Amino acid sequence: MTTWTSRLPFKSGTLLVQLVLLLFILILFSFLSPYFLSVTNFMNVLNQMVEVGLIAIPMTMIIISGAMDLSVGSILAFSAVSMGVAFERGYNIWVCVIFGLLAGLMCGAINGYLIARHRMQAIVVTIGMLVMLRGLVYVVNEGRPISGFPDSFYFLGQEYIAGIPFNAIILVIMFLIANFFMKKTRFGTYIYGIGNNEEVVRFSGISVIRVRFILFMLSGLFSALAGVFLVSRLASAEATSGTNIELDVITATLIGGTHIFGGRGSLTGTFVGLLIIVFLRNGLNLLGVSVLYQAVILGALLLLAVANKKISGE
Amino acid sequence: MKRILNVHEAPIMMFTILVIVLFSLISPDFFAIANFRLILDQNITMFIVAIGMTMVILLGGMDLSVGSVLAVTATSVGLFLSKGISPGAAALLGIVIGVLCGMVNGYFIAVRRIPDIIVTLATMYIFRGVAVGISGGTWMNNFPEGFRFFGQGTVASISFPLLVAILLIAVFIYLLKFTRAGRRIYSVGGNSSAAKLAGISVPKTKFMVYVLTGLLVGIASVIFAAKVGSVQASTAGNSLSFEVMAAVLIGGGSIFGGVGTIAGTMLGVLFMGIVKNGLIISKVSPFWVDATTGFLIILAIVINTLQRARQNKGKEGDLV
Repeated sequence: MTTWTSRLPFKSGTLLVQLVLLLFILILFSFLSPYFLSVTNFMNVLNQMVEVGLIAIPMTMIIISGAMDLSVGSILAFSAVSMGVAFERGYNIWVCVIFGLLAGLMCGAINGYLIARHRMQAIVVTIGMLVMLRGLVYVVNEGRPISGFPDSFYFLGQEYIAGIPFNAIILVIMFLIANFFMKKTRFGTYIYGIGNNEEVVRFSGISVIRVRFILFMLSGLFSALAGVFLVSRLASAEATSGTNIELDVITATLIGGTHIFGGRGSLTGTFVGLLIIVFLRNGLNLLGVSVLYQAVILGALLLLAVANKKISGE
Repeated sequence: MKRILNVHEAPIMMFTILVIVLFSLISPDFFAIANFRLILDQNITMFIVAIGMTMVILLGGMDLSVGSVLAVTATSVGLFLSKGISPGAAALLGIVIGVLCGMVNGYFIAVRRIPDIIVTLATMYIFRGVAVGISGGTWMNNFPEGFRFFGQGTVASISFPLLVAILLIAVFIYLLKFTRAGRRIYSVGGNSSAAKLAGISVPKTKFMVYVLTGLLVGIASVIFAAKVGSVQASTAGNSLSFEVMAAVLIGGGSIFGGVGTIAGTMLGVLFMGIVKNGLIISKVSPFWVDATTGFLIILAIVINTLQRARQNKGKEGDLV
């Protein structure tokens, strides 16, 4: 993967390499497992990739802008559990969903306030939030799962429209909207600009603080949205939900060609990276590989994705 | 008075005293010699790992993988012991494995120049998986009597792990303050371009620091395994990296690199230990402990940034 890719005669080589990798994974698992290549399984994969996919959208933007958000998994759990607790208090389920989204938005705003306004290191702040929110989740929830949501709520995560999972359709729409924003609006250009040269963007009279703040708010909101979909899909809000999801999200983003130092990357790439990750996980699951070994493979893939880019000197 | 306030570790000292007073008022059991011994005893692993983390943060880096390295080393020591290798040799082999893990981190960070946060995030999962793989998912216990000495033994009525920790702290304070290798770490962290121009090999320095961190984690995990007496690969040292990082930042280390001392870090570890112990003694729900750790990390970075802003106030331009 490291050397022959640079010799390929394609100009937009990265996306092609990712597609080849995806195809390779699909063919490999089709041979290894008899259950892999079927419509049911593929729809299943689409259904399961929504949480990682939703978070990958703002994560791509944040990494392009030259920062990183490690707190997404904890925000997911925090909003899922606050939604569950609100539901237990007897509120209407949709009110609870809004409550959960607001909780996520608030966490994102705290991140954004500290990182954008006060220029604290994104990694440290979000690690702090990661540990703190995960602790708070256990405090709020006392470690027990919350379930018993009404049937109308399960529509979000379990319903199929014309054979395609409803949440996957939402995800694709979100990706399209986000892609439009990144490609066609000023806001998208600002994000790329900040990733390339923050000083210049600031001297051009653009509020870097506002752009960063919005990015981290988005990250909180999308993590919360992922939490809502996860609760709907699994029918229970658990304190452990979303643990280690940042590994999947960051790996998907970086495999998708987003540069770790910011400035370069695309949501199209992230989407392909996402497909690679979810099909890999699904195939490994079908082969009965333990989740911990999957984490090893994903970790190795993450290193490979970054190392590969550094060597080809992009 | 002013001189005392100018000491680098003054803020953390004040915080520690404040917390001690606070918990003494809340709980009558807190202010007792036995309790302080317990706090020291429980945090030996953290003290030793924090030395390594201080050096990593001095470089402006970060090591998220220390908890997983601890798990790998502790389980492999358990495995060696169950294969009938003598305690001393098993401990030594464990330390070697810690060094190897540090070399893996160092290779990717220093030689391949991948950002340390990505490398250690990846190795955090990789080492954890390896640890569970070699343990086969079972608890490692039944350590022989001879091995327990490393965690519970006493030498001249002082506990052996405490002695090791004090020795290591002394050695590394000397190393960082008075040797060229130590000053190189400070200069690379303070301004790596200037260090490079001064003829310091930045990759070599980085590699050395990660290897030393691996060594220290290796030593810590031998003590950890011998003290706890049973190791579970999937949970051992789970939140260690975050707690140790918090301790270093609270102890005055700057996340931007180049600033920080081992003495400050040790006070930071003590502070974290006291807070945890105090929370438990005051009968707060144990779930609050994690939340507090996270809060302390954020508090530390807030203080860190404020300090940096104050230092840069007099300088021209917008440096912060």
